[in-house]
Amino acid sequence: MNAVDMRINKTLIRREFWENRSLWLVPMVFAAILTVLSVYMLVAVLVNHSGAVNNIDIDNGPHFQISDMPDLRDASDAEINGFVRVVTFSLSFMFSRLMLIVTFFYLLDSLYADRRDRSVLFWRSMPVSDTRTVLSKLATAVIGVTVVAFAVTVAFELVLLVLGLILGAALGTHPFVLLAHPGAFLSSWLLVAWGELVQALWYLPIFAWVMLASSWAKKTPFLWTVLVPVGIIVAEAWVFHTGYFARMVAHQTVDWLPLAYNFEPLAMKSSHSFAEVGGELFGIGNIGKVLAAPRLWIGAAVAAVFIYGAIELRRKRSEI
Amino acid sequence: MSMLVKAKGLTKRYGALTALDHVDFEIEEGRIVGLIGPNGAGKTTALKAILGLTDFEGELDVLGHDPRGDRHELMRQVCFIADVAVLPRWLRVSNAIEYVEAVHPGFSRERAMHFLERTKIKQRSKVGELSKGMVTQLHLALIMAIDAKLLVLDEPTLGLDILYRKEFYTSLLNDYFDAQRTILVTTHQVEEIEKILTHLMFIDGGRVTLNSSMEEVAERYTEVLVAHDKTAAAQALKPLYEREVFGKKLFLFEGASREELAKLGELHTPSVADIFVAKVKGEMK
Repeated sequence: MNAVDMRINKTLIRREFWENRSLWLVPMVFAAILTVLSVYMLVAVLVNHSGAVNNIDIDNGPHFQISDMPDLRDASDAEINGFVRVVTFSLSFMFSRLMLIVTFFYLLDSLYADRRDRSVLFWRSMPVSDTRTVLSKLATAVIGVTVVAFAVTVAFELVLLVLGLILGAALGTHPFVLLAHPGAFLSSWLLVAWGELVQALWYLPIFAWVMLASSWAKKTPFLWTVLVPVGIIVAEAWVFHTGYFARMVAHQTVDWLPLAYNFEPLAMKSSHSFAEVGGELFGIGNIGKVLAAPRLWIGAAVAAVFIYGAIELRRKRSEI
Repeated sequence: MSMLVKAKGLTKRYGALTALDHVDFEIEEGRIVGLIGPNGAGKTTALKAILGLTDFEGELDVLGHDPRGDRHELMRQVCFIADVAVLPRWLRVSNAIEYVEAVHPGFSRERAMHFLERTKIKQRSKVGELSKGMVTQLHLALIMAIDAKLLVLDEPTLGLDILYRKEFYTSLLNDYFDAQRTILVTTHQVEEIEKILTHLMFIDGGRVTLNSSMEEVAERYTEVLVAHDKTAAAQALKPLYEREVFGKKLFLFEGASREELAKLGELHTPSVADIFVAKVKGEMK
């Protein structure tokens, strides 16, 4: 790809972010709200602590003694790795659920909004092929959104780290030990990025379906997107009394997890310490498992068919 | 001189309705062609076919491309503003310029800025914040900053005030048009463009009813103001159209000898609008 093509692709994706500000505003606002809540909790804890209250009563839940807090200086490397990993993964998981919803609504409108507001003829008066336009929107959903979500997540985690350091310092857990383990953070982030990439690949056929519906609909693409699969599920249950299609779709959304990460060593034990979470979550073997999964390739093929349909419709249906 | 557009047997049907019925025409480089027709005559369909925005039957060659397949290739050399093509409300002026600059090899930022300087449009504004006229100005600035071989304007001045409309056509002629460029324009405001056209094309009921240069039009069509005692003689020469004006009859002739017509009364060169009405009404008879 030459420089001109790169610039066009970059601009096409930027254009999507200009139009769909929710793609970056939603995660940022969410992160901002979480930050405010965290600061509020931090202040609350610090005030309580300085008032020499050693019990933190969270809605009459289990009391925990601040004196029980571990001294991080006593923690092993594996424990710190595991701790960082658990926190990083939980936060990223939250953000990635949120981004799936945002992406869904983005794709619903992606090939419909400009037909509705009639700007489609302006876009099509530019020397950009319909194939390229449709692919740029898919790339925005798969790559653009992932990058933004990842960046916001990392930024938020850094903020949280600072707050955690303040809290830890106040409680005497010697949290600055964490800073001596940058590898724990970097590797966690890499693992999260890997997971998001695999998830995006698994969601490809679903994304492509939403785009096809968006390209097809004369109004309310949402109904087409949802009613067609629901119709298939209902018809299957009615005629065959089975639920293969529903299960297939459901599996597509979660089956990547045990391939991308090793959960088996964890699942075999009844209780987990942080040290165990740190070690074996990912190995080179996971890349092999992901690439060998039929779901990946079948999903990609289905996605290709849907995308082809979306491009053809885009070519023929410039008006609603 | 090369042919930019060649249409042969161009046909478009929407269900039972035939919007274009085996139309043949050619557009040569360096012309400003006015495409005139009543609503629903097939003007917009013809433009859409040329721009690769609709399927059709028959042959159509635009700058060596079949518009159906190579729309994006074609759009490197063809620009258009359709009355129905609007800029999206969320688009910022600066972003619009950035976008076109990136995707269009023929776009010049300087030229766009030059056109925008004459307006009150601010770089930071979003399209949704601009008035209807300003949106059109922005669209025109973007399109006229593109070095294209063929410019297609479909009702370009819709929503503009008279001042800017005049200015637009002047600048189209002075700043944009040259021998390598070709402009195809449709409008209901025929009188606005009639002075700048080099060629005229009438389209009515899905057929091209006239396609010639403005000189030929001026030669071929003559209006004669005839006193009542000579109306029978005028009618004998088979006028295209007649109407009552100030107690006299105004006849419009196609291809009649000027010498002969001069005997009947005062000769005029009819306006494009008059010829158009005569052609459309005349054919209805």
